[in-house]
Amino acid sequence: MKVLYKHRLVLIGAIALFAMLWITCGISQARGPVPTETPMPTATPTPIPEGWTPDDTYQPTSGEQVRLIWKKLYADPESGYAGYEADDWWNPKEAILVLTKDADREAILKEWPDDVKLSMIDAKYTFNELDAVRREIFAERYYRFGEDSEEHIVIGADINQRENYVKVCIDRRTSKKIQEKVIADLFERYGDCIRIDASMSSEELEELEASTAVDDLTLANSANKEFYNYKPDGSLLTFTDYMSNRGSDKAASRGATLAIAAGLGAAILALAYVLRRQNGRVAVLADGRQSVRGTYSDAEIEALAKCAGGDVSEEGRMRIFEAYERETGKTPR
Amino acid sequence: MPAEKNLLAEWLRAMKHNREAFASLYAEMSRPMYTVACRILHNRADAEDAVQEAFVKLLRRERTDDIENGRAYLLQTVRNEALMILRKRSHEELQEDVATEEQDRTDSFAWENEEAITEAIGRLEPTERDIFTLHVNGELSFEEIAGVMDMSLSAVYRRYRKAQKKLRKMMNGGNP
Repeated sequence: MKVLYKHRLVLIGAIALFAMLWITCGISQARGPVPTETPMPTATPTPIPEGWTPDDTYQPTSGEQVRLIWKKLYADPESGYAGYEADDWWNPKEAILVLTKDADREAILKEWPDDVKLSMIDAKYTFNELDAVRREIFAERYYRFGEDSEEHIVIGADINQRENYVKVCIDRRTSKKIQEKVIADLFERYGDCIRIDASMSSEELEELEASTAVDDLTLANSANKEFYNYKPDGSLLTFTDYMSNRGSDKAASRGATLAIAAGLGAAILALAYVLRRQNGRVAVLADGRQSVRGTYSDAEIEALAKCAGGDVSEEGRMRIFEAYERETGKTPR
Repeated sequence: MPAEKNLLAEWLRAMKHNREAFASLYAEMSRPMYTVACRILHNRADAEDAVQEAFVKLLRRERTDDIENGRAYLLQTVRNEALMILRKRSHEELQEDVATEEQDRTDSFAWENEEAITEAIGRLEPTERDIFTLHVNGELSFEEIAGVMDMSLSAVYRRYRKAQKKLRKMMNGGNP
């Protein structure tokens, strides 16, 4: 009897174990096969301009795009960059880029955001060229305080980016003779990439003369007065001003200049003759210049296109004026 | 040199009442307007019609003082008129007219070059051709052209550079 009871217990245990196993398997089957691990889809990354730290949510604003373009130009001395101005540095609506002929305008425009108005100004000198001149004038050549009075006559040099020159401020308290010497030296050395602040407006001059704070040197030197009014409107002294003034003093050297010019003219004519012979014919442009056939520049093409534009015929003109008469009841002459 | 903007604006304001103002406006603008129309239509009579229509439209405007840029306005109007005429006429008809006109030309040096540039401009894509003509003959700035053609400044400049490149290639003996 006891044995039978034991057998029953074993049997119940076995059934219970089987039932548990069956239930477990059933649940597993109902869940289906375990999926293999698949990669999560990833979004295409937003293109991030060079020089910016990647960030998942990064979207450059127009202002940032503009500053990046400027930064790139500024960093590359060969880019033809000469200056930048914007109505608002951080959020510009309008900006001006000053560029030399070497600048890749197409590449700039390609990256430029459409919602920022861009004006491009043609320049002769790059920013780096002007900066080198500025440094040389201010730091190396003239500004040596305490060494020589003639050498520290230059009291400032700044770049005017938009108008593409270095503004050189000279000390107007020194004599006319010294000022003229330094001005001549500056223009002979740097040409038209500098302009000199060497004159005063009448108001400034009056103010200066009335002021008691002015040191003795200024008023003691009567020659200064003449020099201050060199350009009474207060505008800067340009290379052209300098050359035209110098011209009157250089009558003697004019003969030599003319001879060189004549020589150059003859050489150019000879070259034109040779090219004409080689190429057969030349194109006559609207302004009378000649272009050797087969070598048209953009400017020559534009001149030709301008010349090739037609005029309304006399008959057409009459019809238009008749229309005017009809519409207004008047007869134009 | 094109007339000053404010002078042009004065003529525009005064032309309905002042014959001389209209005559001045015509003298200043008829050539660029005609050139723009001619480059689109390749036909003298049709180009003159377009110019005439543009002036008539201007005269029929009730107000002219609200025109900010007279030069751009007139060139835009004549361009629209020319495009309208172009749509009306068949392509074959136009080709015949061009052939007849070309025979009349004198075979001088200058003509030869002008013919070459006219032909080269004619081979540009219409948008490039219009931008080039509005800039060179119409003397509009790229910004003004962007307004006339309803394009972005960068697109105008890109197309202009493309036109320049093609013309240089064609004029120097290549294909666009």
